[in-house]
Amino acid sequence: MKIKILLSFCLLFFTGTLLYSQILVKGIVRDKSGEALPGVSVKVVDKSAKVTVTDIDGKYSIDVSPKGTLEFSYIGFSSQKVVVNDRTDLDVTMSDQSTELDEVVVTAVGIKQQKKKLGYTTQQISAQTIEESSSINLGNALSGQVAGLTVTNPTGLFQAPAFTLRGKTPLIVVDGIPVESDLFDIPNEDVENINVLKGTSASALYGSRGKNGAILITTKKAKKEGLELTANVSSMISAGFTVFPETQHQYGSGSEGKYEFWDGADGGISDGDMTWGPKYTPGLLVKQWNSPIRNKQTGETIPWWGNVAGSIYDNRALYERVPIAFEPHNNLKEFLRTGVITKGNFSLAYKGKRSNTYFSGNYANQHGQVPNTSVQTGGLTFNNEYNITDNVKFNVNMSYNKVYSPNYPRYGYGPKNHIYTIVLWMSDDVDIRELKKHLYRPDQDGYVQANYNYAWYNNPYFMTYELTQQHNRDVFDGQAKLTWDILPNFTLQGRTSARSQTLFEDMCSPKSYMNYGDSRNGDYKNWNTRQLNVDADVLATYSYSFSKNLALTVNGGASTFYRRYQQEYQSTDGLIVPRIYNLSNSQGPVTATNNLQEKAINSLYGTVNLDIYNAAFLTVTGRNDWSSTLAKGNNSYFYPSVALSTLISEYVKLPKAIDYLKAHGSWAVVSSDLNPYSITSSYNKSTMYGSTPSVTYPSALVNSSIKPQKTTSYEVGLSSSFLKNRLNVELTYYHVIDENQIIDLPISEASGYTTRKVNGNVSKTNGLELVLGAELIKGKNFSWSFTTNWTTDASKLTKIYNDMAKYGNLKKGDRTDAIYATQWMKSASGKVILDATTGMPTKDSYVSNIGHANPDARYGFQNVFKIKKFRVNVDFDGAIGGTMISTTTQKMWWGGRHPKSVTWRDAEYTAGKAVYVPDGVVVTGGSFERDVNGNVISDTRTYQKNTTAVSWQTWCQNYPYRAVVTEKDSKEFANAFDRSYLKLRRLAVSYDLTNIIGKRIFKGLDLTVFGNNLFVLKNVPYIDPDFGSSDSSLQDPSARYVGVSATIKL
Amino acid sequence: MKRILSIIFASLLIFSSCTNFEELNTDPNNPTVTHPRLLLTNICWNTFSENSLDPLYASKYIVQSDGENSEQFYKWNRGSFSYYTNLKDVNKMQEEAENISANGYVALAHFFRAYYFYNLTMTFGDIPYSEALKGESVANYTPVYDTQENVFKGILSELKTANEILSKESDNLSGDIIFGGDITKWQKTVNAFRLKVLLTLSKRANDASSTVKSDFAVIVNSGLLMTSSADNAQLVYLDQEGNRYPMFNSSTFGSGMYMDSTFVSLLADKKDPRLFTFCTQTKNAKSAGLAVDNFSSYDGGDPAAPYATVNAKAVAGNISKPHSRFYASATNEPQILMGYSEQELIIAEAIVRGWITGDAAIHYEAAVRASFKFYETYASDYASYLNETAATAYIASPENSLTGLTTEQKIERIVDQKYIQSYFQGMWTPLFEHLRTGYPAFRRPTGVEVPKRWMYPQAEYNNNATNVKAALDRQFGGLDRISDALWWEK
Repeated sequence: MKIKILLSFCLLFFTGTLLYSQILVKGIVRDKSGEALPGVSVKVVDKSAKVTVTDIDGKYSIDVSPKGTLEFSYIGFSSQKVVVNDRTDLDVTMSDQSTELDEVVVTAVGIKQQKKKLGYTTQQISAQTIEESSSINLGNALSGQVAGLTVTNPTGLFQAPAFTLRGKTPLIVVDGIPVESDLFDIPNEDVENINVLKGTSASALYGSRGKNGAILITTKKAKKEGLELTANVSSMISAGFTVFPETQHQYGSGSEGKYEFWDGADGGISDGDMTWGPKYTPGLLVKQWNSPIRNKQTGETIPWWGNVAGSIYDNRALYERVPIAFEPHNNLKEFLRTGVITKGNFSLAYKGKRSNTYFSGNYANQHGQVPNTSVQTGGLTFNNEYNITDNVKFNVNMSYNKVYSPNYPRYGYGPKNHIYTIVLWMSDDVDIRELKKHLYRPDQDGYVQANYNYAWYNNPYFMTYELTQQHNRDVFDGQAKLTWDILPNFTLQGRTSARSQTLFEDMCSPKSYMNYGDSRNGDYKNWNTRQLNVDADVLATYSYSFSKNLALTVNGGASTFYRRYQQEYQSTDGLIVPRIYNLSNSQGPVTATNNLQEKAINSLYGTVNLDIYNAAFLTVTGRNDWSSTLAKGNNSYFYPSVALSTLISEYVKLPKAIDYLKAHGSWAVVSSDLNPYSITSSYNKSTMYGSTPSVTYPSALVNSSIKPQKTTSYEVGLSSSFLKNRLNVELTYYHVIDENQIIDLPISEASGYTTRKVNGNVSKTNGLELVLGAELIKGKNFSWSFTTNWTTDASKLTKIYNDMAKYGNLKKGDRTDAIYATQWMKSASGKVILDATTGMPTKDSYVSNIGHANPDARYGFQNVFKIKKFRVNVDFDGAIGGTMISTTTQKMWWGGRHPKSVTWRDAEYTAGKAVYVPDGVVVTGGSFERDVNGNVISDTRTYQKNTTAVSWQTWCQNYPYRAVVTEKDSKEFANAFDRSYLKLRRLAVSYDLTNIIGKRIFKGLDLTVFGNNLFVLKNVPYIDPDFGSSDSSLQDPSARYVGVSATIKL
Repeated sequence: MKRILSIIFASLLIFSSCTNFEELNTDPNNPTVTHPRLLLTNICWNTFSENSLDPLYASKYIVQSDGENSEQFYKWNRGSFSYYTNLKDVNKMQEEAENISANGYVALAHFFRAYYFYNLTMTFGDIPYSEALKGESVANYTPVYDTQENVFKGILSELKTANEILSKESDNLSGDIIFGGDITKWQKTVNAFRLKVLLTLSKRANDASSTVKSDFAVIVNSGLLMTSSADNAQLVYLDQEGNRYPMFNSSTFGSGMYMDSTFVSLLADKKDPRLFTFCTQTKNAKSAGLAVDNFSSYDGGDPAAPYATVNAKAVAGNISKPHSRFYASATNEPQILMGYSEQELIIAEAIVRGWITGDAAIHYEAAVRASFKFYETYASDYASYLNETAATAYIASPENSLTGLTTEQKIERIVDQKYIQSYFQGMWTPLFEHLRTGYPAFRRPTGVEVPKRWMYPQAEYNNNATNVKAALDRQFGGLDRISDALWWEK
């Protein structure tokens, strides 16, 4: 209330001073959503330049000549001029335009800059997108939003998205401080906006840490005068799958059509592995893992689950398993449960005269699709800005966040992964509901799991209920900043921040748990990790206008960064008593290690900005880093950058349809250092034999005189807006030269070492980014605006160290993401060559280039429809091109789970001999010689079509599995695919309920119904290409999520 | 303004003086120098614990029924240079030992160098030797290849050096997990291994310049050699994390791995009770309740047939699997790098070949008795079939006795014994012995030859192209094939 009076007083004050009252114009200024905007500057466009601001309700009144013009301006919105035209009531709607030139964005080191002055590309993500993302990880919200930013979306619980910006990993900065975070510890709801600094010149001020661009996250502050309370709750659930791995459901466990369980390790009939067994036919009875045991003499039956090894029943002369129905089950669907994400948060913001404060709390819980898994995050954030005097400001930011998972699924190819088991290796005849009911063998509770297999695989429920891994992380962030406006044009700022993270992780493995050669005696491991990052800096800003047409801003700063990482690890060697996960319960000696790493960087930096005629803007920056990780003499490195931006429309007369035309160009050189302790070689601990310790020497040669690597980048771009902001275009071309790269150069192993560290190799990257925004339809009841972004880039190896012919498998001129893989020997015309007697293919002893991993292009479309008071968001994104080798496909062929692996089984089992004749050729004569590089010296081979039939199982276990088969080689057996896809990322419908119930109680009550990851069009089978460039760690089925969210503003 | 600037610079000075960068970048976790004994332990562990299924497929001990094993069908391509990585630690041990004049470790460095270079040259032919392992010391990243003949000369000379140093050493070694520091036993190992290397060159022994036979005789007549299995250079596994039998808990045994008929029938023909410790009875034999020592209760799969055929036999319950002790016992049996039994077989063959004089049968019998004793000790469930009496009967039987045979037949029996005791032991020794002597016969599909070598690693083509090309030009007219015979085989 106080504020309101104060504002009214201000208003009176302004109006009272008017000398020439003509007419009094009144009105309300609102934003596009209809919300009143306080604090908007209203200026009379004449010599008097009278100014007022809107009050807390967005109201203003001002005296102006009846034919005069008013200019409304407000940070973050496009300013607009309105001719009064005798009106006395003049309501104005301000539009916020992302391409608007006067918009202020946060750039490196927290320096705020008008967008028109930027000589490099940045792209902002709106608060709305972030707020409505509802995912538990902020990163997912960025998918498809920013040209040049690739976000992978892993499908499993607690798998963090990974970012690449123009092909490299960007720095993440929160409120000006670089952080190392997987984003689970940064709550979405506290984020005001995200600005992506793409070019290296944009992030050059961050030094080596910002060498790959930066994602700047700005958290919320109190914005509006007075008190504002908001609360948000949202919930979403998985509703089916966008991508679900398909398997065959016709044949069961076994091999060559036969199966019988005895010990699950080949002691029965092919009961150790594979799904090449009998066909599911009604009435078929087979001895299985859950078959009762029958005493052959007495006929007595005993219910049993699992093998009988070590029990009295382990006597095949006396006992047998009773055959039971051999029928398929829908195991994966049965296993996975509905995923649920619930989130709640509140915030309290108060902006007063001297101080403003923001306080928020959040909690989120994700109930995983895999049973007994979940992740919880929660935290408190407080920030305050206090104006100690008129020219001294003190800011403090504090937050505490917790990330906790009592148990989350294990991914990676191996017996710890439920997908590995259920999709690839467990046949449908195994009834997973029985596995759920019986985790342990009847006679071995706590000691031996009940399962259908005892060679490779675990009971999936035993795996998720008995084997648990915990993640328990506490993150404290604190930042204090003092800003002193010494003179109106001279500011000094000092800042310190610390981010402290403690993480406790453990893994409890039960007895009889199988993981290849690991102990089957149970195990307990834990890891304690502590990390402290301290950043401190001072920044001085001086600005001076020489004249109306020439202004100068100079920033100078210094900073220091210190990082300390410490980890302790302990592990038992087998458990004495089952289920007691304690180091003292170890059968053998406990293993323990610890590791400490420290690093520091000191820096000096400065920028000079020159504004010329308000039409050309020049920014020159320089930074020098001194890193502790490089040798003395090589540890100082300098990064210069120059960026120029010019508004062509200010000095060239352009057609009226063009609102403005801006061109920019920039150049920057950045460098980077090493990890700690990388310039000296030291012995590492190796096997402890009994109590005799040992060491080993690393096989990678270090280089104490290694120099920082160097990246030079150029960027040019154009941006323009047409038809009064109806259409915006931004086009950027960039060229990056990476040289002096710090590489572990492969050397002849006969030198005793496998690699040596050198500065070498040059790679060049060319990229093009396009962002286009349009308000296609702008009506009262219906509007449609959309934004699209496109990126294409390619990086090539242009020079190899010492002009060597090859770098690993890569040759000069290859794309750096080229995939070299082992293929089958093929004839000159590309037909697979088969052995004349066996009908089988032979592996090529040379690897061949089968494509490149990264897509040729990536794109995103964001649509916003307004239908009366409803807002509908529809976001698509995807990729074109790129190649991936699918582990899922390869292994499904091998194991007999592939849907196409059923094709010739019946025919072959009926015929009792091989009937499948592979499409290929056999060599009938001639010779084939190649040089050491695999280049053909001579090829006089002659061929004829293969006529030899091969065992279908043998073929499937070899051809599509043991070497790479492209779609060009064979559509049917391909295991390498084009990665192109188009995904419907998000569909959201929002409505502000205050339109119905009024604003008496709530200032806003937004209700949103949304769906994420709804649909995908793709080429690669069974997996979601959005996950990343490889499925070698296997993927959870890609779940579709639908939800509802409500935001209340008080 | 000046005052402000000075404030800035003052703060800067505070920042930069806070930390001493060099101190900060000194690894607090690991040392840069070490005592050679710590390296010796690691070298012993790595060298002795090497165990792989690949040679078992290639040497016809086991077959695969759920996939085509490339060793079983002789479809391999390239070999690996990873032994050079093991040699790097050997070199560091030598360096650290020379720094503190600990000659015992220097001698062992020569022994391990000889051991690894022997295996490398047997695998490929010409290999980097004289310029090898100098990546760190003289920045030689592209070592030239030495001819196999010169590599053998080098190996023998290093072994000689090792013997000489050890004969003068009296200090015990530390970190020795094989002999507990007993220098004499190492000396015996070195000499036994010299005999093995020399016998490998049997096809070259008649070269005009060759001193193979005389060198062999000198060692047998005046060298310190193993006198019993107590001298075996062997690693005893412990039931402790990181020290267990390498195949312990291996999933591989649980699916698709069966015995090869070559090995099973060889043992059955010889009525060799060691078979009971090597594999299980077939499923049908077990269900029928046949006795453990009934040789007809064991059978193998045909290594030359398509794997589907082996699978069918397995499905029918008619193939034996490798014995469970190989994956279910944490310590199973020690791994013998060079043993008394092998030494005696080597000497027996040299006598048969006329390199030295003596009674071949005495050495042959001692070898067989030592081998029986080994399994009696470590597969104790079967001790009753493997005791002294059993060994005596076995040696006396017409299938196994050396009496009344031709030279060639004697050699076959001697090599067969080496083959039998190399099951899960000896890595590629049985294959090399087959290439040298032709024993035992290795079954394979028609038209398939037993490869004589491995192709050089792709990485050498990438990183040391000039030198590997020169080696190929010199040996095989520029081609790199697995079918070309090496110098020692010609």
